[in-house]
Amino acid sequence: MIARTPVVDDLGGVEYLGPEFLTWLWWRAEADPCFKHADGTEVFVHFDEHLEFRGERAAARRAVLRAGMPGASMEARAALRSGKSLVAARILMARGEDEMRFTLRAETLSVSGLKLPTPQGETREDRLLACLDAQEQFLEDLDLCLATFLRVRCSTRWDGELEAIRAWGESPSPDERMQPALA
Amino acid sequence: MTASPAVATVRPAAYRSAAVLTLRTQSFCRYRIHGDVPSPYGERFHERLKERRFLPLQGEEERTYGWVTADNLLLTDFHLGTVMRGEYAAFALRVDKRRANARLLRAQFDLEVQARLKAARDGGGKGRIGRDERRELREGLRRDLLKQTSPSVDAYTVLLQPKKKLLHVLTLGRTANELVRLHFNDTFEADILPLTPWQRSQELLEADARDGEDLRPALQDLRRTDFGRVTVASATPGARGPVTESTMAEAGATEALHPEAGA
Repeated sequence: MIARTPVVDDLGGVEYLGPEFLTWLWWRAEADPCFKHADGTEVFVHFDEHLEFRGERAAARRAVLRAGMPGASMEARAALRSGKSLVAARILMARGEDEMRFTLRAETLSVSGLKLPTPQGETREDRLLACLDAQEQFLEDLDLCLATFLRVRCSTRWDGELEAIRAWGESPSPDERMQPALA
Repeated sequence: MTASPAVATVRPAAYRSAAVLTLRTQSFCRYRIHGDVPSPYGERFHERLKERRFLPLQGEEERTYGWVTADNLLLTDFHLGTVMRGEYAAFALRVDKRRANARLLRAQFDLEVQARLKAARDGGGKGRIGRDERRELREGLRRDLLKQTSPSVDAYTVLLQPKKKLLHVLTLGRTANELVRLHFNDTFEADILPLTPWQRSQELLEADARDGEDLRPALQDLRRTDFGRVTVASATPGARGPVTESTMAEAGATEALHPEAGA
């Protein structure tokens, strides 16, 4: 008899881990945007101009929201309420005065359009090395966010945090709250 | 792959004046290196790159690829000065491709066939061209066209962090990433595996475990989370069975999105 070995791909069979991380990060950026490194350095996360959702239930549909603070839109909350998770987002990460914008694709953790701070340095070589340092710093910050997520996701705290995310998803978005005032 | 600090500080003047690699805006995929890669501070590393360097298209080749320097895709001169950037080794995979234009090929083929048929008829022949002759004719024209076609040229920068055994491929293109993976393996006899959320999570939790808290078993037992509520107590008019919020939204729940529409 031949024993069946589970097929494990690059995603470890948990292709939802990345989207769960990004969805959690979206909520966390609204609830408490500050992340702290062990040395006390603070990193702030803000979701920017692009959100891409994917349905996890029967119909794996995608919804893309662009421009005009989509995170505050009712469409984004509706997507969350309907069980979709974030698969890509444009994010602003700030550490001190340094700001970095990038698009994170959650399924692969690939990064696109990463804009590093203007590098300081007199020579081209100095500026290149400054860019490499900034990239290193960026990856440390991204790891900090992922590690923070994992410490919750893999612990008993996840149920409570999930409940908070669902309650947030069900609450009116900033756009929805603004509507009566506009009317 | 241990770094040699003494060698790492060497930055020849030639490199300083030729540093055209820029990283202000970038897109990348990350890989973890599995296997032993020679230290980029040593000769062996540069020799391996040279062995698998880019060579221009020859004869009827349609594709060729190989390593070039990160600063200039025309150069394959690998040494400490052209490769090392701080703690990173930087080089690039150049890929040249060319293809005979199908429309041009068909047009030339048609003209040639017509000319041959006419010549055959004028000579009192049957005025037919056999299958083999057609195939040879097409292949000859394709070869001629290929020689006249300029290749498309791409170069994908690769940043190797020897201390961390990390590789950054500065493109998100799937084909390019696969090619880098293949050529890296061919060059250094080492695998590179994508640093997916799963892979990176394992590594981060492993680091946490060293500090005391081991959450790795919980990672193995994860189940998918549904961020929406699975069922809604009240049924939507006209709907059958339990209604999920998912179905409401995906069916175009205008009431949920625009409360005033239902008023």
